[in-house]
Amino acid sequence: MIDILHVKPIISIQHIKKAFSVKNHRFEVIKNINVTINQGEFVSFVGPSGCGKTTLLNIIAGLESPDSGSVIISTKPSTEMLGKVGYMHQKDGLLPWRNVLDNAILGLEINGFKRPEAHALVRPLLKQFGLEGFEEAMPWEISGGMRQRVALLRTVSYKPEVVLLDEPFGALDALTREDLQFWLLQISQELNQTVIMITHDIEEALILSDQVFVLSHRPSFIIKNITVPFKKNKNERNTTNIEFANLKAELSHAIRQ
Amino acid sequence: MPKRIYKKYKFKNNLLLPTIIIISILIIWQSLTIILNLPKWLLPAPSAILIEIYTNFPLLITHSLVTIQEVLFGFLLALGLGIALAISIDTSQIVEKTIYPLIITSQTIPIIAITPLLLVWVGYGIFTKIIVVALISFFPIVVNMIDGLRSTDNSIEKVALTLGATKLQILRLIRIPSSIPYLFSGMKIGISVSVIGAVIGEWVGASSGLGYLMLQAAPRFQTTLVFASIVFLSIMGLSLFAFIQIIEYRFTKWNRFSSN
Repeated sequence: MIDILHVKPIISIQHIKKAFSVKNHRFEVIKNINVTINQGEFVSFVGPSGCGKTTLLNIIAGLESPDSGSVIISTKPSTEMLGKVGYMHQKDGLLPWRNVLDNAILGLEINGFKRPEAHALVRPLLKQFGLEGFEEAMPWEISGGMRQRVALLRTVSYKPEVVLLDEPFGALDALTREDLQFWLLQISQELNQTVIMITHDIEEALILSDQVFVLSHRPSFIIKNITVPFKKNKNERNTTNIEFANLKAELSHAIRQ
Repeated sequence: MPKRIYKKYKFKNNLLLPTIIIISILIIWQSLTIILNLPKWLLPAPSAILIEIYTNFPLLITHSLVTIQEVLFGFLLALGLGIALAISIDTSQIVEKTIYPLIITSQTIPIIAITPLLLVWVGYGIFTKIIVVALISFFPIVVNMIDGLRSTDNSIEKVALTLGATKLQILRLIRIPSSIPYLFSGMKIGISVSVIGAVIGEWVGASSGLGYLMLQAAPRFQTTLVFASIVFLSIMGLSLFAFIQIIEYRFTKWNRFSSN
């Protein structure tokens, strides 16, 4: 649970709207989303596929601009924050010509660190990310789960103000996904970083988040907002916990309405 | 540490079959010249060509050195020019719209038609040949490199963008490395046509080089010497090709193992 006295808003999504035009036909993607996210919080947006989740994340990342409304991170609009917001995609996007360590330092390198400095900063994190001993391995030599961990290390290593996760484990098999979800649950508490995740997997959102926003079908708006009432550990955040299962059913019902 | 999987270049798998085919052709050729009793000036036997190479070895080497210089300098010029052009065409729309059509059009003009002009403008020296070699070999390098730069994986570029990369950083860290396998394909075509370029340059006007040697030998019915020159030219072309392939093998290991 977040200590009320230390809550500090870091992201403010203010009444954003977004539409696309395809062949003279206007598609409204985001109707009206209005959310404030606090420092250190793990927040998820859950919604059916095609509901504009990725558009929302692209707007927060500053890759796209909303038609109206704005996203403020710290004090600046998100379009000025490119490079200050870490973004991890479903596809790991590792550079195939770089080994694990050199892939992990890409964020630092782009932000002006020399290679030896960047290596020194990333090496201590390797163990936590289960990559120790694999520094020299090439992306094609490691498993999909490991590749996603490298991608996450690359995203958090340069200490962005916010980390955005776009269905981070969507491309993985069910077993690996579950392992990585609980690993991320643990590591997100250790890193104490503000994280925004989008997913269509309600269980994933409930395992990882402090807060879950349920999005409607396109054009999307928030139909439900819950604070996850469970302790952040594997015992409480598990479908064998009846309250967890009930909450999952409740959200699932809300999405289908 | 995972075990590295290296593909070993095995003679048995890669060179055995071509060697058998070449030897068979040589045997058939040798037998035909004997059976049909062909005169040496019409079609010399492989054995006669070998003897020619043995007796005229210093002469052939002297002229080879001239040709290989033209090929190497011309190719390096083409490589530098090609990479620079490809990057500017990829980065700037204006350059793409103005220069790229010119480059493509230039390829429709037969190189042999430009060579006499170069002779007039640049002279009979090595520079004319270097320019001919560069003109003929830079095109495959440019075209392949541009394709390579454009083949960059979108998801990788998006990652770099969200990490705050500038256009220059994306070019340096993402696009250029992505294009390397394509660049090598262009270089392999380029080096093969380089040798042709050097010979054309020498045919139009030269006082040394293997092309010059052939041109001198043919009207004198020294057909064996013509064939000996051809052997040297193809050995030169093959060695240069193999050299590039070895470098390519070292630098693009990632491309052979990655699925995307």
